[in-house]
Amino acid sequence: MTSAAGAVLPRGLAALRRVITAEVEDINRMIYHTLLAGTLACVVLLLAALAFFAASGTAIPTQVVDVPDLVRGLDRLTPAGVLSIGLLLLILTPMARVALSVGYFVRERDRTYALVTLIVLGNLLVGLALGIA
Amino acid sequence: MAGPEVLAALAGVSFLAGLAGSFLGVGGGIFLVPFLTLVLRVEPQVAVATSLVGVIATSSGAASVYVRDRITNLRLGMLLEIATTTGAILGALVAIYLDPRVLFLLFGFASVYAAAYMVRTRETAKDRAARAAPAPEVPDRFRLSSMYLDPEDRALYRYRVQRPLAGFAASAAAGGVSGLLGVGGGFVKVPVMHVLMRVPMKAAVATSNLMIGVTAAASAFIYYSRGFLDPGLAAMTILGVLGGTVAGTRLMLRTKPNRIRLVFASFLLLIGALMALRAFGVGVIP
Repeated sequence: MTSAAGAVLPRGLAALRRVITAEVEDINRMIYHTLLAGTLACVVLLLAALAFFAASGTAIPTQVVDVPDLVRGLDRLTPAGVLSIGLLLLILTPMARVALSVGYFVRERDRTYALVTLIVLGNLLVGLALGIA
Repeated sequence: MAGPEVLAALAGVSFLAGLAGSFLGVGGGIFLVPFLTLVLRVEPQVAVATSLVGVIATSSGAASVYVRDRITNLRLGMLLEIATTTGAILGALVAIYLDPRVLFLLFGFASVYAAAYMVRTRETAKDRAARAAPAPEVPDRFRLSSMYLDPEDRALYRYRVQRPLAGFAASAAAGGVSGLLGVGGGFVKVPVMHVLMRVPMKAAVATSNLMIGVTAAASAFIYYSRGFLDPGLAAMTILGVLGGTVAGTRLMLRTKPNRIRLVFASFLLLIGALMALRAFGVGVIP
């Protein structure tokens, strides 16, 4: 079988997937795992907190717990704290993806993309600093 | 705090936003914000904060699937993220000096133009493959050329990214506008990659989905720190959106690129209309 791209290709989706995985072996695996882990951890924490509020009949708080308060109170976690940590995990996942990409490209000695991802990370931090200030 | 029926409605709308967002490569904030402000009567800043976590959920949920399946052009996404994040910072800084009505009109016009382009020119399989043009305008120093497997017609498409410099500049402008208007900007990123840089539609959608999470995350963190996030609303939005992305990514992978283009064109016309309305003082979007 010949595709429109002109390459001779194996039949079947599974075989094609192996071709594309071998060819486009980049940092896909690491990014996939980072995004998946961050999202799943967020979902587990949100569901646990919501289940508690539903079971105990208490109202869901309307305010998030401040980051400094969260850090100080990690030893005695409340359902409200778990809910806030779940939200923070989701928010921090894309930034973690960028930070981990920097490390990946540095290890791979890919100077161009180590610099590219570093600039993106720097921009994110500048944006955060400006926004919080 | 909102009652259970309100939360259920929010989860349902979020599901649809996640579905549409992952199918089109946009965040879905354009659906969430009007629902929150007009139907649930939530304060605008709380609505934007809620919508931002919805955008992140769309991005992470959809991008994880597209990255796993190698549809996303990671290098292109990361390179353009420089432009969009720089633009967003500058846009936020100069926001006070500009008349937003001019911007709304400008982007309304650009949306309609991109929509017309997508309706007029079909993307053929040959097109998608022929984008592996032999002579690039600038040397492919950034190794942006890539290939992807389209599960819909079971074919591999190898493509070259055209006009990287123009695409970079347009992405910076797009980032500036998202900083100015406080939107994720997927509706700009997809046309920039697809129409200007000649990236195949599915790869453009997947790459945009990856990119929107980063800018939304920085803004969302700021809203979190300022206490604008309502945990109950945010949690329901996230859960609904993630469910939507499971459906939306499957649908996108199985749909013919031209269908996605037509849906995207309709979406752009809707955006164009909303922007024009906003320019003349009818605010559905903030």
